[in-house]
Amino acid sequence: MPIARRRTLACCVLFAAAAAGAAEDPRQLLERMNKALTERNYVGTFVQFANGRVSQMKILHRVENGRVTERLQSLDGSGREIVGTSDELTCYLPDQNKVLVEPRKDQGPLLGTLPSFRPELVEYYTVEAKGTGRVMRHNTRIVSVTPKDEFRFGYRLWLDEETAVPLKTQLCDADGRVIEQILFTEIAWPDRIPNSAFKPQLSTEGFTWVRADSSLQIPEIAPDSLLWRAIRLPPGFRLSASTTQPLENPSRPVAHLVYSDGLATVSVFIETNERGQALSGHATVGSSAAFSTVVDGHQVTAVGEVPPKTVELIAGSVQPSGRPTGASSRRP
Amino acid sequence: MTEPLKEQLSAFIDGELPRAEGELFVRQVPRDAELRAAANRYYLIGQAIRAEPSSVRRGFSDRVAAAVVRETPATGVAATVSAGVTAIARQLPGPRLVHWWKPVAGVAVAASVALAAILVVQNQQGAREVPSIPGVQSAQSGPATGPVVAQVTPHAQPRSTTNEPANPYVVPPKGNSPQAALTAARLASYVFAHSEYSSLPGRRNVVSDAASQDDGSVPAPAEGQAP
Repeated sequence: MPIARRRTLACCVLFAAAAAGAAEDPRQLLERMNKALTERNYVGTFVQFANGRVSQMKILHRVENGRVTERLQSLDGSGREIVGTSDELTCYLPDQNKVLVEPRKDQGPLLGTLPSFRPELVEYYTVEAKGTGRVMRHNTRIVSVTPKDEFRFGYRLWLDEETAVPLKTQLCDADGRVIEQILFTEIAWPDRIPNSAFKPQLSTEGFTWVRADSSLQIPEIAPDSLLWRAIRLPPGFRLSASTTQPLENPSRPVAHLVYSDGLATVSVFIETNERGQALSGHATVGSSAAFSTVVDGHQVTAVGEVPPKTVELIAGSVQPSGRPTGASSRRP
Repeated sequence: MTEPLKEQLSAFIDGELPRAEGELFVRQVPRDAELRAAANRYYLIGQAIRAEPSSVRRGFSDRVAAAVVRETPATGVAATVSAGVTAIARQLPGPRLVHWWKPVAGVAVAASVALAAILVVQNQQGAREVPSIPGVQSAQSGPATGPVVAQVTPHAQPRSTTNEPANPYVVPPKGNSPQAALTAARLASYVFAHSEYSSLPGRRNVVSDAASQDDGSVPAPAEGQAP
């Protein structure tokens, strides 16, 4: 073979390998997935397996002139629906003759996305392309995000080769056990979804409409109540936000601390336990875990899509700020 | 359950069922308790058999295989899926929420929807000792965290953008709700507030649980008395 031809062939092989490598980059695939879930129109039906429950839903997601409209419809016979606009979520509960309305503070899609995969996350997760597969007669690329310890969950995602929409998603623990699975059984990407598609099919005549009283002024929380912190955290977790939430009683807001490793998130809520009703112990909330305890007359609860031991660790280490290390009455 | 149905279920869970057949099957699952229970079992079986060897431990596969042979009830599978926490707690006595949607003392309305997501709280009186876990960093001494002091961030006031509601709105009345509902509502409020900050699974928990049918038997979390 002439040298020139061999060089051309070698270049072609290298180019093909580089192109294939670029296409297989799992981080790029995850970015494409987030973009697709946020910016594309899609209409699909999916089945969710979690905690021994099977739920079937239909979702519509439309982006028009930069505004997102979504509709999530239960197909289990209850007729329940959630319609989300950029401003609020409306929950139709025909089985209860009620409609609940809640202001929407975030603009993310109802199905959720994954945060951008920052370089430092490689210390806590392994991100790998796991080749290709077929889901629902679509070619998919499989991406695996595996935690490196037992304090967080990982994901396996089957992303549509063309659109990067996740046709199958698994939430897994560090041993690969599946905690939750979402499987699309039908999906389409229409260029246009008419307004009529977002109107509930049911009649709301006679329904009670319920919403939070928006006229209530939420007082500032006492500074002392916000000066709390978790003194022991799983590796990589940091305080990423702190705020107050009106929750049950807008006149008595609750301190809300958010700890994250960049992918997993745990919220810690601290409120004065004035009612004398203490929550204590574990809860399972869908695929998330919660743990509550009482510290110095305050109810401390951690909630997150992490293993139970993680929320227990974080909630159990929360202390009022300024207390000397080791001075907690609950720890030796 | 018949053998063809089992095969159909297995193919469905793997996304390999032909379209028309899949649509029919999907309609059948939520209505058929036995099929629903089997779906959960087969879902685990599929994981055990088809996942890469490194991602599923042998013991787990064995347990799933044993569960298939015994045809254990769905609660057994749920216990495996949720690492035992739910199943253990289900055995505990506690008040039940018959009407989880009942408006309670100013609860944010969508948060009350999230009550459907609360499965159970394990009853543990008093505060717990936090076990020492290797590899856990100290937030006070760890270089990554540094001093962590929460700062006050004014909460955004709720906004109303509905111009012409079809019916008058009703603000939930205060102070006339059962204690159990109040406590469960508190947990639900936490979940909803957290979902604003969580990514894929946390967000889905709230919305899908809100939309899915409630069977009216959601146990309320157990309560203790403050020390």
